[in-house]
Amino acid sequence: MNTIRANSINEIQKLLTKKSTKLFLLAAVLIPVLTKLLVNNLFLTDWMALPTENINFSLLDLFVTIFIPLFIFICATDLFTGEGERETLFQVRPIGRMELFLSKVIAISIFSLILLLLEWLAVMISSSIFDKAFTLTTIPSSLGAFFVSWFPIIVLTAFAVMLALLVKSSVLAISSMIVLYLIMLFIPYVLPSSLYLLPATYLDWYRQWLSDASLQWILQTVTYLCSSFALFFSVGYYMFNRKEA
Amino acid sequence: MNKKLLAVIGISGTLMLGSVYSISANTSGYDLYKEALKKTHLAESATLNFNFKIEDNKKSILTSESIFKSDSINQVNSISTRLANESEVSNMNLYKQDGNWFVMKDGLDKIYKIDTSNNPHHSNTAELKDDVENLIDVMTKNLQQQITVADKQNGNHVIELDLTGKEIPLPANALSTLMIKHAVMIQDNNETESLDFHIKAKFPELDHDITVKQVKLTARVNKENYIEQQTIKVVVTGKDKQGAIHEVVLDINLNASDYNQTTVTPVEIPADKVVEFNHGKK
Repeated sequence: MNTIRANSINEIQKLLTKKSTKLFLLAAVLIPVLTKLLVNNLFLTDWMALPTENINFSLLDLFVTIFIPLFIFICATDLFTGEGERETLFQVRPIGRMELFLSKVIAISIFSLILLLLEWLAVMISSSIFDKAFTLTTIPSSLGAFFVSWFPIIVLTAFAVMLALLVKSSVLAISSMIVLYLIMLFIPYVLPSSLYLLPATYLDWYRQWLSDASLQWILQTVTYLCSSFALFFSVGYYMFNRKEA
Repeated sequence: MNKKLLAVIGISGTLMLGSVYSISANTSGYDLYKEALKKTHLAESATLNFNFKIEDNKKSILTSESIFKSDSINQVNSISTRLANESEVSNMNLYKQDGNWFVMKDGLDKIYKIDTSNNPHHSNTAELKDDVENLIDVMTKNLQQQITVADKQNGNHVIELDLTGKEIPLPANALSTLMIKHAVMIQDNNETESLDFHIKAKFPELDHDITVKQVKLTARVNKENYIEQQTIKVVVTGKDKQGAIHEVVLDINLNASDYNQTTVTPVEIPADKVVEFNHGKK
């Protein structure tokens, strides 16, 4: 357990030194603030009274469907494919393969949670400053929405890691992840029956939580998220385990 | 080790497929409605009672009651409409026969004839319909799970979708607000005479803080899978230039009956009173 924790921290530190990570952290703060500024001070919005909460959730949508997936793809490529290329993936360290694999996945997941919470904080603070209709009662529901959005993101992380292990070149890995993700977003328009099969569909599942979700739906969706995570994680680990040091 | 891993992959894969299947089955209300809508469109004839009313702060500003009889085999339709605002009432009858629409308006000694044979509006191919259907299926993904179905006695189903405030998708809300604002602006400078009723409703001139507050759809589907009743309720709130708050409620109620049993008898059109009216041109 201690080795996993130590190595997760180690991987997080590795991610933190990257320029792209800092850029994403900055975006998580700046985008909500700028949006709020624009929405409240633009001439065309004074005749529209869009529910403030809706704008907050649109910002969350933007992050869970575009920025965080992109961030995950970059991290997964760097920690797996990139290190494989540089041959630093299996350095001599007292850590088992499972522990190494798990700590890398944990590091990416924790980072996406940090991004989500940072964005939530930025949304809430800028909302309380700029929005007239801001009330404290919206805080629990929005925090809840941002937090539940983390779970489909973990599934997407496992999916990205699996892909990162399939290919040997970083450029190929990141581009194939982005292409596949775009395909996942658009293929349901052609084949509607594939909609609920794709992990990308569940990224905005917080909407169901906001409107009273039925217990049946919660059970089904949680089953999907858990089983798909287990599937991607174990396939990923299978390939990771077979890699030669 | 490998065996254990393969077992995990197998079990989780099966579970995943199972959950996908059961989640897809959740949208039964949406599917039921879609099927009913398709079947209803294929009906050969029907009688529809179409009523709507618009209220501004609980005060009725426009009401309309229509009876629409349609027989698509003989290509004969008839519509009779009664429209009322706060002070006036007007009646109008429309007939479609011999490929043309004839409009008879209360208090007018003329019958307008509209030639629909070169109407540019109906080029709907089946393929386009399928594409649009797919698009709607995916776009309304989050709404579909909110549609409830209640089974009633004698095989009827009541399908309901009730959205309030933040549940209404932001793009839809923004777009309808934009349209309302535009409609108000167009109403201001549209004084040209048209074939419509001379009755105009006094809509409140919403100016700012416009938002869609509630959208509620219900449909009753009978056991033959025809839509028997459809109601739509939309609530829009906003303030006018003076800052007074308006709550505008649109209520639409559609009752359908006599599926495949409606007969429309063509009426006598006195030829000397007919005036040609070109669709889309002045």
